Amino acid sequence: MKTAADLAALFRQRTWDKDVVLWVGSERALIEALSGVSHTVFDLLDLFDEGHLPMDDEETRAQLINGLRRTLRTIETSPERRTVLVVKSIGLLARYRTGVKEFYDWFCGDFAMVVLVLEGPMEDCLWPDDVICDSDRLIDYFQAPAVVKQVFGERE
Amino acid sequence: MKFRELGKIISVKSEPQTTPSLQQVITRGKARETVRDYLFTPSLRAHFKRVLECIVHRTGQGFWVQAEYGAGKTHFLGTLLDLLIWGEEKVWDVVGDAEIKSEYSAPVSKVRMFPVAFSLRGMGESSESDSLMRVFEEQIKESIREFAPELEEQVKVTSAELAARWYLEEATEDEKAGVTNFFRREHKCTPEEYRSQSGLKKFGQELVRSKLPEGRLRGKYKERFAFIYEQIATLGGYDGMVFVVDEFRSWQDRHVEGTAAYAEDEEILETLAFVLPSQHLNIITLIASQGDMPQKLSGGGEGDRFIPLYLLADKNKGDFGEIVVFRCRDLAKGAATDIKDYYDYCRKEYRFIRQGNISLDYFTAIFPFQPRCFDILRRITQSDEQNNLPTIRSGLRMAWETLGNQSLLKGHRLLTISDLIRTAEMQKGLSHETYRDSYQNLCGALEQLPQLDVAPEEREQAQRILEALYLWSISLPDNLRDGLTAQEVAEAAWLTDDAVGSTAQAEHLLEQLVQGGFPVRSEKRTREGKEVTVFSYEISATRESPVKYFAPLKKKAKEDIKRQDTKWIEGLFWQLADLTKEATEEGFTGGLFSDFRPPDARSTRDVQDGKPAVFSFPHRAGASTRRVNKTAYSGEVVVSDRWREEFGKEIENPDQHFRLVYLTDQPTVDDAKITADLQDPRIAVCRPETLSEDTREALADLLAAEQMKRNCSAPSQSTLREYAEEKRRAAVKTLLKCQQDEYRRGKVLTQKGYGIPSTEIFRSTKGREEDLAGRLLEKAYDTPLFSSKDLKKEFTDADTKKLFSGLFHKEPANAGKDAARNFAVGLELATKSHPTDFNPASSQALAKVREQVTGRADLPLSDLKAALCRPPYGLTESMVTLYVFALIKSGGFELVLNPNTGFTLVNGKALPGDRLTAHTLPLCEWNAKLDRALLGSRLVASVHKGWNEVLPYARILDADLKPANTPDEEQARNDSLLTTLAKLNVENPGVEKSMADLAAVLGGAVPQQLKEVCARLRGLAAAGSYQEFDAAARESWAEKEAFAAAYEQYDKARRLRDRAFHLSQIIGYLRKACDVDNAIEIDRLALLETLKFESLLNNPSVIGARERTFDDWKARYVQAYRKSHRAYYEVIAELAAKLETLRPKVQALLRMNSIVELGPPLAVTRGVEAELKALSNALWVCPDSTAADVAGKDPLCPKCQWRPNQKPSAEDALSRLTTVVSQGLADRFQRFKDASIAAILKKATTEGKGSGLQELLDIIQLADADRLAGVLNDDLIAFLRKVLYDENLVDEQVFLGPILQQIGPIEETRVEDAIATFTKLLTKAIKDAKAKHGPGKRVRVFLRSDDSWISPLDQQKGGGT
Repeated sequence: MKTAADLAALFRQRTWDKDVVLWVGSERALIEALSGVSHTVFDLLDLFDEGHLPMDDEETRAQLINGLRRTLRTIETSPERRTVLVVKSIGLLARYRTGVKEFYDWFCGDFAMVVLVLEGPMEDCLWPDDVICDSDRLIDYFQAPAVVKQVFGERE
Repeated sequence: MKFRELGKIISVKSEPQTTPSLQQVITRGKARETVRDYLFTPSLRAHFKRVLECIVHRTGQGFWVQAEYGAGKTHFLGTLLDLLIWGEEKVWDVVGDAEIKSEYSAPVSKVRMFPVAFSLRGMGESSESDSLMRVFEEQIKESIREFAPELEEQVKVTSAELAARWYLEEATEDEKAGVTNFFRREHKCTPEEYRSQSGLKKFGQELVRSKLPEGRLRGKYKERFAFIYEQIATLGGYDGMVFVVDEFRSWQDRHVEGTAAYAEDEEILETLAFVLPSQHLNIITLIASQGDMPQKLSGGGEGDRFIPLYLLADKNKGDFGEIVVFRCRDLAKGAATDIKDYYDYCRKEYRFIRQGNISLDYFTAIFPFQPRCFDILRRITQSDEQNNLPTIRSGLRMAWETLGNQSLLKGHRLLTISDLIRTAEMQKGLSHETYRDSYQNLCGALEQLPQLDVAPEEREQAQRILEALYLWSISLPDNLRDGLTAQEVAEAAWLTDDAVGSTAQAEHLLEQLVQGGFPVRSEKRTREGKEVTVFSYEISATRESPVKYFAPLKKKAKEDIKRQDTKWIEGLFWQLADLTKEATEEGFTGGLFSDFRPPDARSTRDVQDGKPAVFSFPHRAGASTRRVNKTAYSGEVVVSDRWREEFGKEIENPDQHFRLVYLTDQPTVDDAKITADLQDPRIAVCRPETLSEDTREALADLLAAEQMKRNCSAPSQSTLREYAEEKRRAAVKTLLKCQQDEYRRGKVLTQKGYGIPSTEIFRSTKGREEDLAGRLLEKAYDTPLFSSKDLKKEFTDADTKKLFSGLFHKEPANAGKDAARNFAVGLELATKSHPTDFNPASSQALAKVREQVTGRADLPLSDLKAALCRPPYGLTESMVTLYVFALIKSGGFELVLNPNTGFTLVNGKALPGDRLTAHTLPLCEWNAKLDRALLGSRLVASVHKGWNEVLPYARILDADLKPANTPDEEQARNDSLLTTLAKLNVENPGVEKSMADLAAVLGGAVPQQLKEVCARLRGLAAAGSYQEFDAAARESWAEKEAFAAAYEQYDKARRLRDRAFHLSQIIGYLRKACDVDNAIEIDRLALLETLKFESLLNNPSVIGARERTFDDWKARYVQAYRKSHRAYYEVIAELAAKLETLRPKVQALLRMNSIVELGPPLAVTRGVEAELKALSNALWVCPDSTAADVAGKDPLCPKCQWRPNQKPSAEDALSRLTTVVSQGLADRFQRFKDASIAAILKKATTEGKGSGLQELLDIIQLADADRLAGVLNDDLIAFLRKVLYDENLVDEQVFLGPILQQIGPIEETRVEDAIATFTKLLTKAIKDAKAKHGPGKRVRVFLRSDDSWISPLDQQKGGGT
């Protein structure tokens, strides 16, 4: 796992190369690494209206994909408007099997990259005795071939 | 030579986007931009043509687009798709390639393809549905929503949709009852109720779950895709579908070879690319991947599964530079002339143009970069994947950033590799840990440069040398040490020195650098047989002792026998990529059984984690031998970890002649048991001995080294990793030797105990199966039915088809003829005296076939194969088929083929009665379709049977005509001759006319004899058969030799005719060309002298040489003309610029002259307007001034017809006009300064009248003509004229009282008298007023009857009467 300094170096690059990366750590530390870099924070939960939640997994997945695509297409990027998109609540991507395809298809490019924020550590939570926390599950999901390009962490 | 600065030759494009997404580039809004930005290099053009050919001919096909990361796969796919789907956006208008545009624009627009395009990158893994089929279904639905939303409700794609459709449209009453029962049980409602509550989709999903529609859901890929295709094609009116999958590598990485998922992927792709197209479904499939095509899908030929299209492959490496530069810059108008100057200079001064065979076209395409830039960049970017280093697309960014350097654009030299090093993108790459240390070393060396004992201006050159050498060094593979000669350094760093030359300058600086202790190494190398000194950059590294890490790991590995055994098996199947350089240098290309590697069930993650391979045994693969009977016999190799009885069963497949069984471990059963199990003499079993201590030692070394490498993955542990790698390399090499030793110590078992020594079989891996199988077959096939000693080469199945063509086709290809010469005698299908003529009289095999068929009305071909492809005959399957064809050709038998296979004759017609006969055999192509038709074919008895004299005459017209031995051949020869005569009939009039025209152009006359020959040939060409031809020919020419001589004369005329148009153009060009250079002019006149009609007619072979001479001359002429033409118009442009600065002054003068109140204009200025117009015409600049279009048919610029004797003549006229305008303006200024006029204007200014008047007065005061035009507009002129006019009018008052007093009372008789008096008095009053104001004024009077009279001016000021 690479460090926050490595991630900051990546942010500072003039151009990016289809970069969708995973940040394992706090949002606060990420924002520090982003210092001086234009960025937008986007919570996937905002794609859902609490009053009209989808009926089942399939509908949720469709709503997630469509909403994500619609949102990504509205964010303008250009050589003068380099943007890092900070995405929160990424557990939804794994839970509803959407992957990160939409980010590659409709956002990432020379002047736009994505950081998926995975705040942890989950093993520190007080789980009931009959619940076993597989803390690597989400990291493994996003680390699968051709999902995210690199993984950075607050702790090495 | 003085070059034009780069900034005037090129313009830099806006910052390129280098990471396209397929989804975005195929949107309507991006389509034109995507196509416009695409460069069709020759190799890319060929790829496009290959795909577009399939599309316009509506033949489905698969294509595997393979290239490394960032090489342009997505842009390739996007452009192709945009051309197919966005015709309405006029994408073809912006295609940059004329050939693609002209050939495919119209045909492609007639084909309507439904696109399904998507990228697999970023798809999350999901164990239960990680299925390519599911992805395809989703993406098809997505495409329908995007491109054909009207079909969304109609087209059924998923199982749920098909199930719902089945229930609504196809289910029987009984089936519906079953469904009703299911829903009542599961949901306590009827199907209809459930559907209305939950929707059609859920309803369908429940139906699928019920399994009631099973078998009706088109579950097989083939059925499902075919059903979807039919729906879309029929309902949407499409001609076909195009599937495009980008980033397939990411999918391949998840599905390792040997897994079920991998097999599913293969099957789906095979279905789309091969199975469905072969059933006439027009499906084009394009898969883009960085990875290799699965072996099952390869083939490479038309009709095979996938045709590979490699982008930026080694043979197309020139594409890289062209594409990079195309995306970064545009050429200015006329740039070709300047680039040619650079090219000529480089060609003269340096070697790289000639060494690299670099054409002017390529030089232009990559201008202004030195070609070596792209060699080095390409190599650096090629290693991106393993090291996460600069990718190929970063090369594009480096080039663009370099061109953004203004100081370079102001320069007059090509850009070199050292110019690229300072770009941010290159810096980014060099700061990566792979290069970081060495780059810091370079930076340190550069900081030391001020201490180098060279002139200050040479330091910059020394810096370029260090940078070029450094980049050259890091671009080389790890295992290659090479350098550059001084000459190459001079070229790569563009060194110049007028005094000593570039190479000597490089030598001097390199010597200084070496002596100064800079990290430059010089070595002696041999190149092209000569010893040369090469220079390279020294990249050093630190080392530390790693032994303490390795020892404990080895100890552990030595104790773990199970891991050793697993590693042993894994090692047996190593591929070349698993080996090390040392091992390959020893001649190893893989493990002992690398060619027969079973599928590995490990995931990518398992491989990364170093988990042992999981092979599934037994694994079967193909092999062949050519050791026996000079014939290629195929067979199978079985690899297994244990012995099984099935390995010993008799070989039944006629296409298999042997079976070799390799056991990976010593078997648990003894050798006697294995020998007893063997049922066929063509089987051999090889087993190893128990592993020796040496082997176990090597295995432990290997395991320990691999573990150490994994453990030491931190960046700071590179030394440890290197040590581990060294140990691994040594262990691999040792283990490969041990593998051979263990099998040499083992045994080779056969049915008849041939006693084959294992030491000989396992001497080396090369040719092992060939040797072993050969030993088996030479004993088994001891009575072959053909004469193998007469085969001139080794005979393969492929040769059978060539031989078929050579023996049976009327006009066989060269390959067929060669095959006949090499094999026909050996196979006893021809005699030694006539090896290419079919004559099977002595064939033993044919006799055997006759023997088999005799007495049988009907003999299946498969029976024949089973009987003859076995010991002791030794015939192969294809040989038997060939002998059956020979039997048919000999007459008496026919072959009834399997109908409905689509087999047709070469003329496209169907085979009559599906029977292959002696007559139809020559019209058959032995291809895959015929192979299919032969399946199930049967041999049956047949129910059906002097040109040579004319041949000597006929051969004069066509030397390829052959003798005829049968009536069929005679007819065929007749047809050939008539074709030749028809051609002659058509071309003869043209030749005659052409000769007459050309003679007129070249100033000659057509010889009478030639006219006569043409007339006689006209008569000859009208013959309707070879007999008529013979009669007519002999009537005109009694002797064959006379006919030959006459025809030769005609043939010369014909050859001259072929070049007549070009020659006419040459003559036209030469005659019209002008004298641009003395030497060129002399050559022009000399060339004209060589182009005479009579000499060309007598010896047309010189035409080519004349044309080449002309082309050389023309290239020189064009360059010289363009430069002179440009120089002339540069002078004209300067004068025109001066005229433009004069134009406003002329306009101002003309306006001032129009103020007549100022007095008449200066006489010399009356014609300035006409002179200005004349000069404007004379100083017209040709629009092609930068590059006159004289490379075509016109030797003079078509726009201006410029000739060198035309000199700029307008300079004097311009000078004169400038003087006259100055004089005119001075005169006008003087008039304005006149006191009275100045007073008037000042007064008007004071009163605030006239916009711009104050500025005008300032200008007049300063006589500033330049500012005049900006102020003197039409309004101001009108105002000035009015003011000056008005200032000449005076108002006076005349009181009526005194006048009326003098007239007195008026009676009727005094009216006229009173009027006369009034007139006299009024006239006098006016005269008095005029006398009062002077003669220059006009006077106006107002009559008043009282004393309160107020002037009109006072009235305007507020006064009144």
